[in-house]
Amino acid sequence: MQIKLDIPNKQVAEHVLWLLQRFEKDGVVIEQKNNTPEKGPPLSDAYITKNWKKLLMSSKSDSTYPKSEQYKVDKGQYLAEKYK
Amino acid sequence: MSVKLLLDLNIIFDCYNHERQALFPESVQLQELLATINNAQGYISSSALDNLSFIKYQELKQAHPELARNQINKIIELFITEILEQFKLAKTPSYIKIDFEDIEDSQMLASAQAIDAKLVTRDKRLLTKYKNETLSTTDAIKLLNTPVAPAFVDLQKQYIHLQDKIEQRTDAVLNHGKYIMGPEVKELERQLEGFAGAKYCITTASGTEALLISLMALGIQAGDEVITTPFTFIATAEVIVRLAAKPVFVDVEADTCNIDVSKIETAITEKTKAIMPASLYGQPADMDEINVIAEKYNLPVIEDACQSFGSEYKNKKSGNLSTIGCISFFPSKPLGCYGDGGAIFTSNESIAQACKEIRVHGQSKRYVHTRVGVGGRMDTLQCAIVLAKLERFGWEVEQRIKIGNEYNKLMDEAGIKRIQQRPDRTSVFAQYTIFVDQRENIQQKLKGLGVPAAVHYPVPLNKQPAYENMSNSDETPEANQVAEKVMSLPMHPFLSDEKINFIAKKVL
Repeated sequence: MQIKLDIPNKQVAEHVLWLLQRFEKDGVVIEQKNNTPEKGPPLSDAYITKNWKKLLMSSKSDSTYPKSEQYKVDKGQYLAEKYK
Repeated sequence: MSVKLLLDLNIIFDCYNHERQALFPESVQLQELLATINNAQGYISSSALDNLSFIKYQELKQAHPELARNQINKIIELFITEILEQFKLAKTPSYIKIDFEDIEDSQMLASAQAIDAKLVTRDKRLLTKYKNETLSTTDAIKLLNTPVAPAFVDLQKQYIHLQDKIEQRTDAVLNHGKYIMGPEVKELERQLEGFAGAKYCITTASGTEALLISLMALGIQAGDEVITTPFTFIATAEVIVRLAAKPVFVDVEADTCNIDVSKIETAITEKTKAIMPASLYGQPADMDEINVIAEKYNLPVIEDACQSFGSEYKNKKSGNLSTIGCISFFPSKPLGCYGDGGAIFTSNESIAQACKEIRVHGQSKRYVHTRVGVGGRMDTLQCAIVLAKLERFGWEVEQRIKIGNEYNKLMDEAGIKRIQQRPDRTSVFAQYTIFVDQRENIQQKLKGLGVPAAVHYPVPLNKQPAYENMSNSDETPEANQVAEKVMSLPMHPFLSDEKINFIAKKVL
């Protein structure tokens, strides 16, 4: 069974992760830890049009992601939603 | 020759992230080279666009939770737009060989195969499994840095520029299936009429066929004489002889190699039935003066504009300068197709009707053969290709004129004799031709330096074995002389200033 957890609170996320790590010896695998950044103030459309490349270039890009299991899961969810 | 490279998405992603740019600088170098090198083109597979968008969407969502969905979509739209400005799309063809280990990879490999390109990737699996089809970034950079000799005529580069238009046009024909006299034939004829300013355009199977059909429409027959030039491609005289008429060769001007109008009138006899000048190397002959003589003797004029379509004479288009104009779509011509094709222009209704009937075996109605004709139709597929090329033809003509003028300047500075351009007309420089002594030696030297050169034409028509008994070549001394000296240099709309200078220096 694979579970994806989305925990917005950073402190709670750290606690859950700590807890899950206790089960690694029993075969639990933590595939990916994404530290989602704090949600900043909303950006205006004009700012986006002007700074789109800056935003794109500075986003974290994992070169192993397109061949990863996580990618397949994400893409699967995306396509399932699209063609539901 | 142009280098075509299809980029795997890992290379594209490397260029669109600061951390990855630092980790994989070769990817960035490759992208920069593709943007600056004249003889290279980068592609991405059309099948890769969705993943390009999906992965960047995921990254943005992770990194900027403050962005609303429509804002991320806007960024993706701007990103894909920029990608498509830099790279051309290569379609995924139906003959894809599916690799079930990674279907996306097989889509990219198939796209690369469709455009005869190598797939550039950092993916070790691809580089190992598909050694012949792939290149590493390092090897791709090496390839792009290898000097490339100038092409004599660069049709490959032209295809790269027009690929989407040509694909769209040819796909339409292959799918509607009207391969003979399909809708593209009429569409091309209407567009060409508009371009040339002639009332009627009749497409034909080749430039040669256009000349033959024109003579047949004028009723040229055995024993008639047609005045023409001895210094052009053989087709001009060949069509006269095929009708058992006699070509009467009038000498050419030494500086333009076009027919010498001052010598035409003395060649006219009671048997003369037409005058057929050729607009050689892309520059119209003295058409006004020829038309005046023709009118005096009530003769039709057929302009052999097979090399000059796109040029202008006193602000009128070549091909529409006389009773009839004939053009060729031979691939290397300024407006070429991908096989054989041609067209006839006229503003005379009865000549146009005759040409249309002769083109389809002299048929005026289905299976009613009013005249003797030929199988002279231009294929729908070839018309579709010319239609695609016609959209960019104006730009190509401008480029040709610019490049021809640059060559002229360099040749004049070096004191090399060249074909002269008359001030009241333009040339499309179907060939860029100079006059040299010891031509063979120079040609060999250029070959050794990677500069192709050709001779148009080494022997005047009236000295050719099949034609020498029809005329005395002593009467055309200028044609004899220019045939010994002319040499054509690389000429096409994609010749860079750097290459023109390189070629000119090697000629000296």
